Amino acid sequence: MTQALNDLTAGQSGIGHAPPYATPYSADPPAAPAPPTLRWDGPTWSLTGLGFLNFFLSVITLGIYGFWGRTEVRKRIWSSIELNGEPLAYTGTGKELFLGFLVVFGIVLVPVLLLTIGTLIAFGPKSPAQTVVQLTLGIGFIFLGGVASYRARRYRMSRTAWRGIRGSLEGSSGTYGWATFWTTLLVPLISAILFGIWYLANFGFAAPNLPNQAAQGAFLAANWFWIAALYFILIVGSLLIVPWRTTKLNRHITNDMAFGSRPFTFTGSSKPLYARFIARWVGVLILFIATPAAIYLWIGKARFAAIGIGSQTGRPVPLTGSEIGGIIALLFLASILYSILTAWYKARELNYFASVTRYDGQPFRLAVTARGLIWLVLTNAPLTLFTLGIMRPVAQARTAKYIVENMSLEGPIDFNAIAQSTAQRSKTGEGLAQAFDVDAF
Amino acid sequence: MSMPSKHALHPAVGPVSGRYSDGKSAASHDAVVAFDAAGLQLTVDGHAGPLWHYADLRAATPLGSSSHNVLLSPKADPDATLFVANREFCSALMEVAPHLATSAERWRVLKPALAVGAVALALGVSVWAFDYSPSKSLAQMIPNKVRNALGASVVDGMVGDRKVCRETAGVEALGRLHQRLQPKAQTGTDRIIVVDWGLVNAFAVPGGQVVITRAILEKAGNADEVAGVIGHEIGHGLALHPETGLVRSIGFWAVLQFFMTGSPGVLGNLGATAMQLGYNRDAEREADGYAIALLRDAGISVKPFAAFFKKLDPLGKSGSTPQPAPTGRVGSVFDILSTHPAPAERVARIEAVPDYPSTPALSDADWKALQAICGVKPKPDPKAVTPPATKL
Repeated sequence: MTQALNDLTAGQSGIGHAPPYATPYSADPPAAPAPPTLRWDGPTWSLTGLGFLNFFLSVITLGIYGFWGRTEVRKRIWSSIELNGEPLAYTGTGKELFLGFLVVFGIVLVPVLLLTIGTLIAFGPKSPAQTVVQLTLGIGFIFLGGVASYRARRYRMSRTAWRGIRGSLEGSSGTYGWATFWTTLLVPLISAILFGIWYLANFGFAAPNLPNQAAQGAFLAANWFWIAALYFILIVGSLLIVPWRTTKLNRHITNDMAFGSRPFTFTGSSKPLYARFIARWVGVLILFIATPAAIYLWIGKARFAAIGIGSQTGRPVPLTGSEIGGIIALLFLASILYSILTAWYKARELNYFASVTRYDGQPFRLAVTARGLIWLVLTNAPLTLFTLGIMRPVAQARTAKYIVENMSLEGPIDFNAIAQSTAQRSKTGEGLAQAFDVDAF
Repeated sequence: MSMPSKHALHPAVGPVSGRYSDGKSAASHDAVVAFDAAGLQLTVDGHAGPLWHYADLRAATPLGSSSHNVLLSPKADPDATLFVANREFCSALMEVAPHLATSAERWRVLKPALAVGAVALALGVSVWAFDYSPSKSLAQMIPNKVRNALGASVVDGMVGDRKVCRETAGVEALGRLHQRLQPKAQTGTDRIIVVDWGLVNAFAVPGGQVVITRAILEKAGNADEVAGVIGHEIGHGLALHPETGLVRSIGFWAVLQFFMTGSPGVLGNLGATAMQLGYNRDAEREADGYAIALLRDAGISVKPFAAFFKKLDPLGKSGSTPQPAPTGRVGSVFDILSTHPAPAERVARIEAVPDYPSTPALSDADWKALQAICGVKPKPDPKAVTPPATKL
């Protein structure tokens, strides 16, 4: 969902100011150029039939048709987005998706599986070798995840056309993968280094001698302040880095994007996001404390223990039906409040990113609201989950429609001056993104 | 403009206006389109434009009866586009260029995809018809070293922080029971361990290892019942069910990843679960067969084994499945409770075994020792009332 919004905010919007469809070309009034119009003209709920058909055809072809089904859905969504009365076109094919998947299956998934099983067999379980392999794979996946989302964006940009002019993403997926990689590991790495310095300063190079739980407890009790401080740095650091990191990665990918011969630019910083980000997390923290507190007050101490699985102390008193109902209601209320806080921040982030994204010098304007996002998520989630994904096309079209209807450009663009993209087009698409499940459309 | 010939094809649809772009710039041009005998004749900004042959036309979105606009490109110049928002034009176009229709487009893909599906289905059916299990053949090829490594890993994952019970007298008693049940001709189970775990369950893992929980020993009324459970798990080991299961789940995983990635993931999971269920039920019947044979060879009565099943599931419902083994390795662990055939059916089969001379599986002393293999649990209540003053 977030990915979908990001994709749409950042990239898949063509831009234009050509005359409206019926007006002759020569009647373009040069005196008062207007900003291009963006409009949704296409199906949302009526994609249900296509969803069912694709599902059925996928089943009878052992999933092979799925790649073509997904392509048809994209074609219909793309062509529903009209810029100055002319539609976007999705020019990708099912064959490209299928080949991309085959390649990644062969060069990533199968080797990873073989490596995992091989290490287990060669070195046995819980061997240092297995830990090293698992850790390396885990860290490697962070890098590959970044590469995957970049390549997926590049594929979709190059397969998006308007008036025959293609989009492009002209940069290296490796560079983006690396940016994803080090920004993800930055805070854990700093915390680990701080821990190392602290440990060496206090204990030197001696290995800790903690043979039993009592010794471990004593160690924790004696050093609780520093251990708590390091945890604090790790957790708060991991949170605070999020807007900075998101902005950085967005800047990276947006500045690599182009439509035809003109690039997109991203000029924002993460500063304007922090006030709302911190307010949101203060709210979440309050929720985190208030929800268990409310449950505790509602059912009392003895029964509170019953919620924990297999409480060690004493005999938990079973909950009554009304108490379970009350707890569910409280948790439901808490999750609603959480969604409101999250959407409130997300709306800010999306609108802000749009406002600092420019094409041909013109900034985008996006006016999504927390209420709109919540409604979209609350309705789209059951639509995909309860239908085995059959209705996903409807959810995707609704998301696209919502974004398109709330998006505009600030000023006019001279489309006559935009030439065709000269970027290379890849032969296969998105396999890696599919393997890492990072694609939204 | 090629006015004369257009009528030959579509008298009803005269020249229609649209927008043309040459694919070199994002400029939009005024266009008039007419149906010519050979193709669409374009007139761009009042001048004669290109002729696009019907057979070479591409549509950005496949055409259907409800299409009210179309974005066309010629095959030879894929960046050039013509956008026509006219319903009559769309339906007329479908007649002269039928390959643009949605159904035609789908069928082009479906033909090879269905062929692949049919071949896979035929393979599946023949495997089933000849009762051939590729996973079992592969499982038989796994060297013992690998089986043991896999088994050790599975046991590790399953046992977790729990204690493996090692009270000497109990271990010796378990050894004697193991010895008695061990098949004479074949290599059977190498190792049986008891885990200090309150969940009533028993598992067979790769490498011929059997894990039973403390709760099984508590739930069982006598050693014969435990012998039945162990016999069943040894049976799984003899039939290489855990190894076969592991091969099968890796295979399923690979195949599903391969074929289902274009589809919703839930679909794949449903399929995998259904397949696993079907296979496991057969495996349980097979393991029960082994258990009956092993008990008979060892001269231990099978009746308590049946009684134990009734005890676990007094209502005879098969739906009351307890929590599954927390392992992450689907298919490599065969536990006694989940995904089994209806207990009633199994009980009936065991009870139908004719009587034969039998002796208790273990002596009373050994049975007591086995029950105490995890150490004697201090009962909480007496401890609570013991006054601290008595401790000197």
